Amino acid sequence: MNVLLLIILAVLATAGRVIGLVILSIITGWFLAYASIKSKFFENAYIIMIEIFESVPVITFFPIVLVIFIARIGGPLGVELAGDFLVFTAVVWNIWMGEYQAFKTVPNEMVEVAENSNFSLFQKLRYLYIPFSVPRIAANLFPSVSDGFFYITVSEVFVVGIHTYQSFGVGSVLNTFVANANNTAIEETLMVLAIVISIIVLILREFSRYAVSRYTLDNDAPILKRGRLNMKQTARAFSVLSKNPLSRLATYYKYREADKHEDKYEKTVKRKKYLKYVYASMGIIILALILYSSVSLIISVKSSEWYILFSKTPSLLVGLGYDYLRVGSILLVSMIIAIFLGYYLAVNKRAEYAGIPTIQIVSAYPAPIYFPFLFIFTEPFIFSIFGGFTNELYVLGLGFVSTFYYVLYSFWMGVKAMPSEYWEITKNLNMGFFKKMRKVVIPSTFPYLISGVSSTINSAWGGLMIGEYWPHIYGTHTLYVHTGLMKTIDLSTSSGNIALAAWGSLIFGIIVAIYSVMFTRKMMDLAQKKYVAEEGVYSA
Amino acid sequence: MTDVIDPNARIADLVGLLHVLSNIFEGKTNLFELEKEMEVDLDDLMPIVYTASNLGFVHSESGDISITNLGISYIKSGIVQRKKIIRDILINIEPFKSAMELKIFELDEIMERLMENGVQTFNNPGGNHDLEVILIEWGIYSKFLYKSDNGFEVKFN
Amino acid sequence: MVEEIQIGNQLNSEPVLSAENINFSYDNGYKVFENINIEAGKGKVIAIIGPSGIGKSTLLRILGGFLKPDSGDVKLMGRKLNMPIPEVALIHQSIVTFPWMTAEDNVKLAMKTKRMTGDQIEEKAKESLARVGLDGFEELYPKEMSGGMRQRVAIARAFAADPYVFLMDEPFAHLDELTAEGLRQDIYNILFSGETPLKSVILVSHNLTEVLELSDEIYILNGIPASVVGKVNVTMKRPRNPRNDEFNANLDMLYNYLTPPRKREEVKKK
Repeated sequence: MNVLLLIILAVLATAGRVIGLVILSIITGWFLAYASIKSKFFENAYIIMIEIFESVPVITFFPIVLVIFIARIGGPLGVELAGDFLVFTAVVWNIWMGEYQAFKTVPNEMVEVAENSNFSLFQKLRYLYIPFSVPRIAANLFPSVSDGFFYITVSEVFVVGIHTYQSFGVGSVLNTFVANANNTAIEETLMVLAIVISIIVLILREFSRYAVSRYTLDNDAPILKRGRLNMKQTARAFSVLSKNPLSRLATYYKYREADKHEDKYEKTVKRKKYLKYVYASMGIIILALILYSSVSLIISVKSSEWYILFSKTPSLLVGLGYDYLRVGSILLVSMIIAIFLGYYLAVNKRAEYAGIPTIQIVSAYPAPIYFPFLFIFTEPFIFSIFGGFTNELYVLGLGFVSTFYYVLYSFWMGVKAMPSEYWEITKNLNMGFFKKMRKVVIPSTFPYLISGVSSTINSAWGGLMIGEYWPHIYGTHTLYVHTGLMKTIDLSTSSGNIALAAWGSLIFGIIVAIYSVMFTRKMMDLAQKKYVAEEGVYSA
Repeated sequence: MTDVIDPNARIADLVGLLHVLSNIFEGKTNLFELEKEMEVDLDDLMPIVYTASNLGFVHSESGDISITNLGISYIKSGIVQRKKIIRDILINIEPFKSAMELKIFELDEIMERLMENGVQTFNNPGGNHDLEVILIEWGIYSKFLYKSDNGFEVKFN
Repeated sequence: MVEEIQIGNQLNSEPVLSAENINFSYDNGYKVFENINIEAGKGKVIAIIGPSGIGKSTLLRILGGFLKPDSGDVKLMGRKLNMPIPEVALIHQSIVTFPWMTAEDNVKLAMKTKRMTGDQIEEKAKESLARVGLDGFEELYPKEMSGGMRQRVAIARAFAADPYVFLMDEPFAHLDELTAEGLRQDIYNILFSGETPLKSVILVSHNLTEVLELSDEIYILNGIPASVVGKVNVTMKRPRNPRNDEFNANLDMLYNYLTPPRKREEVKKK
């Protein structure tokens, strides 16, 4: 078979998976979001579920997913579904949350117009809720697609014990080329993937622009007051708001806010009561499925095995400690780069013009694909300098390349969204660069920075998961670190010890969820309370 | 200088102004009285005063303002007739004078033509948008123009 | 020229829309309305006024079937109204157009649930747009229009459903006064033009001048919980001039009703 054709098909298969799963997320999200604005019970369950799953890096689900799909379903279908499910969990939360927020913030007046015309459920969705959610979806598409690419390439080939599972796509094709040392084909694959990703990113940019111009409301009262609205300005403000790809800040406060401004008119007509039960039962079914899978997992483990798992727990925790240190250093480096480069891009129009699309394309290009080649070319040199520390450095490097865009991009957006009045004040007071940064820029971009940091942390885990134990990164060379929870999980997955892998993931999941509640949310609240710069300037 | 429709003037403002003038002030008043009565400020009032004056609906001089016969017949007409009255006047007013020269045009083209014709009103950062609003608010409303897929077209012969 | 009449005065002909003994509390138990009776007669513009926070907009939503009263009935031409219907059209204070649809599609929304063919819907949409002066705007998006034009689209949408009653919730409040004045005149002129089934209009406004200019009857809400403390028949001939003495005397009387209830009683005693 023609190699180039094979490559193109593989890349298209991968891209098709990502895009198909994104579309699936969008469609399911609409119905779930509608269910949650109709039933309080469903809403609470749904939001808690999203928040937990969103704060746990998707890749740690993988061992559990493997059990369910490979053991229960099996065959090529099981392998395909396992990979798809992993990617689905990578792309879905942002989109679901965005749609939920959109549905929750549909202006009451618009709902009244729909009620006034006696719209059916389907008509309400079609004419009101779905169009209203388009800008939010557009805002979440970019990070979702790039996350999707990141995880799909690793989920197309995976090893459990003595079995290697593959599904057709760029990851598996590349794997074959690497095994055969077919350098030309490798280069071609990387090129084709780059082209396809660039096209997707450019289309997404266009779509995002279109979505903002067509689907955002601009009838805010103050702007309309004079009967002449300045659409350009509102459109711009909206594009910044809705472009915020990491609407995590919103994620953490919006739904609570939305509760407050529920309805001006507290009593709503309570017709179609039965619908409430339909939605509530949908919620119960979802919960039951989650429960079923975890319970069936638990009872499949023998008691002697539980003993082993518990006795290994302390060493798992030590590994987690190491991993937190790694995440911390990745974050630190990312933030320093983000603050300088992001600022430079935001204030320098020409750099921005070329820089932002480039960054978007590079960040959508999955690090697991190109990293081995980076490794091959630089390893001898790095080894000669860092010696025994080389592997550690590469793992950190992988974590870094798979994640630093988030904080950079958020910070850039924060600087862009800074009110022009603030710039004038810094000039007026003749502030130097560092003073300006400390006193004005960083505080006023704080909410953006926090949301970027939280995404960065999340993705850094994904990078570590892949990097801490990467068998045969090239030839017989295996990349691994000395101690790390991610390594333990990886190792036990690939040696077929699914119980230990799942146990490790569970511990990790619990700690990350606690961390997110204790730390991330607090920061989000703080950011929301003190640092929303847009509210610091009142327009007359 | 050529007469121009102010970027901030709206059709409803014209009706409002003429109605207030003819009904409340019996046809004639001072601008400051008008401003007080309408509870609007200068920025809201002057665009329509200039525009109405350019269109010939009011006569405004040294702080006084009065409604003209055209203004009276406008306010007494129904919607169809009102559109016709405006349509007939627009030919002599920018940006519609330039539109008449072009017949079929996009926003950039008429902007360019306005510059050539020495009209600076829309020559500012928000000018493109202002121009589009004016073309729609006055031109399409009065059926002087209609909007096609690729820009505007003069409908009026 | 103005006669003050007592509450509960019955009209001879059947009202188009009526509210009978409406009581309403919020979910938290706060009682908003007590025993409210309102009747909107044929060809009449009815205004509801009251101090801010009294619940004027809430009352309008009860009249439209959007909210259910604790007790009492809302009737449209004698038939009980339990839920919102297109024949009783609510027009909002904030201008509600759907930015992702053209003017014509916005208007068509009102007819989605009616048994009409595509052609009939299109014809009706064009007709409604033309009624408010927007012929030629069919393919334009709300974002390309000024606030005044957008409110016309919203009104055209309400007209397209062939309503008997308009419920207008401060419909001009978001426009500056000059634009509002123009739109008020335009809209008033087409309300009862005879080409539509529209029979009455209920207007909520805090702009007393606007109320006196437009309405035939004014209901005044006051007190906690709110009840109708007065009803005024406005018989001044149109067009009404806010600068003449009669108009001002009427304004003064409305304000009298709107001063805090206790004080008003004291004034009466004197």
